Amino acid sequence: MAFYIFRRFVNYFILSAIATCLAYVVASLALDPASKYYGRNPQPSKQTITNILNGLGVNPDVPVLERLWNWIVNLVVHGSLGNTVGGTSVVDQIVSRSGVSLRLLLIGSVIGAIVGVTLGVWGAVRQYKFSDQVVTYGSYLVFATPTFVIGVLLMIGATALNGAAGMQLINFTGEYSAGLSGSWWDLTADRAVHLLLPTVALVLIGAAGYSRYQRSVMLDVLSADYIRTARAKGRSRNAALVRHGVRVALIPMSTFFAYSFGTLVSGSIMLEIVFSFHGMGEFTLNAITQSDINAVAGSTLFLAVLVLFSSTLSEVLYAALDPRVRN
Amino acid sequence: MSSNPTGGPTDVTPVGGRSSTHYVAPLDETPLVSVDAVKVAEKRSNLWIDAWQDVRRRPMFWISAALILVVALVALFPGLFTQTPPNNNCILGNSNGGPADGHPLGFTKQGCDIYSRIVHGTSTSLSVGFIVIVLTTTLGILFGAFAGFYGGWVDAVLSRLGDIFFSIPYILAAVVIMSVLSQYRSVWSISLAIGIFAWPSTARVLRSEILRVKNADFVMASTALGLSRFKILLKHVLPNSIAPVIVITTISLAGAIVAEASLSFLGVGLGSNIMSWGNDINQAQNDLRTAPQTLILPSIALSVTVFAFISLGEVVRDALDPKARALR
Repeated sequence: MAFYIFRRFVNYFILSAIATCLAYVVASLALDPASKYYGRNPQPSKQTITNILNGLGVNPDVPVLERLWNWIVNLVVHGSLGNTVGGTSVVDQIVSRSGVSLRLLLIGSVIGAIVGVTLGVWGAVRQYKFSDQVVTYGSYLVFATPTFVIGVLLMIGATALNGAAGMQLINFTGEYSAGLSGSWWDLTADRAVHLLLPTVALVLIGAAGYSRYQRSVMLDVLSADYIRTARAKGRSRNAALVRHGVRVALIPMSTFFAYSFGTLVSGSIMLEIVFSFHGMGEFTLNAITQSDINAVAGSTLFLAVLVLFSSTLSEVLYAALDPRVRN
Repeated sequence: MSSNPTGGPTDVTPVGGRSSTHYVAPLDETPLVSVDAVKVAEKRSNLWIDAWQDVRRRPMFWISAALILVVALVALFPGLFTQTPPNNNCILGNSNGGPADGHPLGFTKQGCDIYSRIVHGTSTSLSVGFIVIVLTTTLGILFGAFAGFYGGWVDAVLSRLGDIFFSIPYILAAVVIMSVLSQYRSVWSISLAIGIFAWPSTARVLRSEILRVKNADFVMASTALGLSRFKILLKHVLPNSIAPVIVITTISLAGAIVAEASLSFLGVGLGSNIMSWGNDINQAQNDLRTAPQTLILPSIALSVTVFAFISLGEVVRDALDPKARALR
């Protein structure tokens, strides 16, 4: 099993490396970091612009593959991802911002997965009953609402709640209250309150997708013979469903977790913007709009590592659930 | 017994050396009864006819179909639904104003009629949806059909390529494309940016369906009749595995409409000269606290449309799945 997971890890590692290099090449060809200097009045001299571009390692006169090679060597030898157009180190930016995004993404996707799987199993067991219909059409409604509208609606709801309570029950602007000082506990509680609404939004998005998929997988499993066998052996209905049904239904789910990761990242980027979190999503979007090649490449690498870990994790889950894979 | 290629009678000689004779049960033939008769006069039935029989009994099918029909009418003939011009005759004095006589939904920040803008923005959202599904279906069928039918290294390469595209968050990719194409922001360019990253789900659905179909007896029969591999794929395998693609296409259309709004929200969507729900939502976000209706009303129009397409897709998916049909 260890060898199986290692082999899959290597497979994903190569894929992530290729994706990152491709992203570097695409970003280098598509973005023009010099353009913002041409628009400046008075315009800097050609020599100045060339010096800046050379300093960043993004001079378009150098062949793109040579720049890619330099970027990789710089990363491997110095552990550096170059500088942003603002002059700060990309690694420093990623270190300080990744925590914000990871908190939101990890908590949101884990709770979303748990809620989604539970709702999916419940919906499958109670197929076409009223509660199943409510969950089904509720999830379509979440699909049908753009992420940022979900965020905005939650904000409006929270404002109404705060107004009704006559105090700031739920803070939702930014990632923490600016200028707040106090014990570690106070600061953590403050962060948790700020995290509440975007997490709820992310859980809704995740749960909507997972519950649909889990429901359809579970329906296949429920009609299988081994559930009837388990019941015939004298297992209670719930034990048969959980021990024999859910466990088997989770096997295809574990690959779906990895595949749905991109959707969740997209969702959390939108939510970071709506709730003005200064996380990786904001960093990446700004990098693209500012034609910052190093920052784009750095955030792609960050994303690729995330995808690498989530894919490997889903393989571990797969192997843990499915004994056939282990041999 | 197993190693007898000629298939002739076998003398079973057990280990002890004694030969034994087989007991052969006497033939017990049952005569054909009425249920075995082939009723030639009976109505013909296939997957599509059965699905139609099922779908017409479900209220959700008629609700979503009616909604889609209305939305399509609004997109094609906006003049039938409103006489108020969406862009000119905007009076700034009405900025973010509530409903007034002849203006049932109130006004935007620029003092334009919200109802009229929603009506005129419909065609943009629907065109983006339709261009995207043409793109995703074409790419998805090409990639999915070849990967599933030919297998081996073709499958490995095409599926990995799909995986790469699938794992990229489409928002980021579309933002890159839209900022490169910032000079040419139109319905076409935004559809291209969305479509290029939306095809892998279609390809994956078709691939798994083809893997299921390609071992069917009729494929072997066509091979025996001397049809080429490509002809078999085109004439027999593809038509028999297209049903799930139709479902995922309705859902991609819904997703594309949402994606257009999201890109417009980020400010890299359609140019502000093009009327769309996404643009209206984007322009309303600054006045969220004071005039939330300017954001919520176009969002409702968008959500209802997308909801109709998703529900239609899911109802049809249930109807096309004989197993789900039997359970109901």
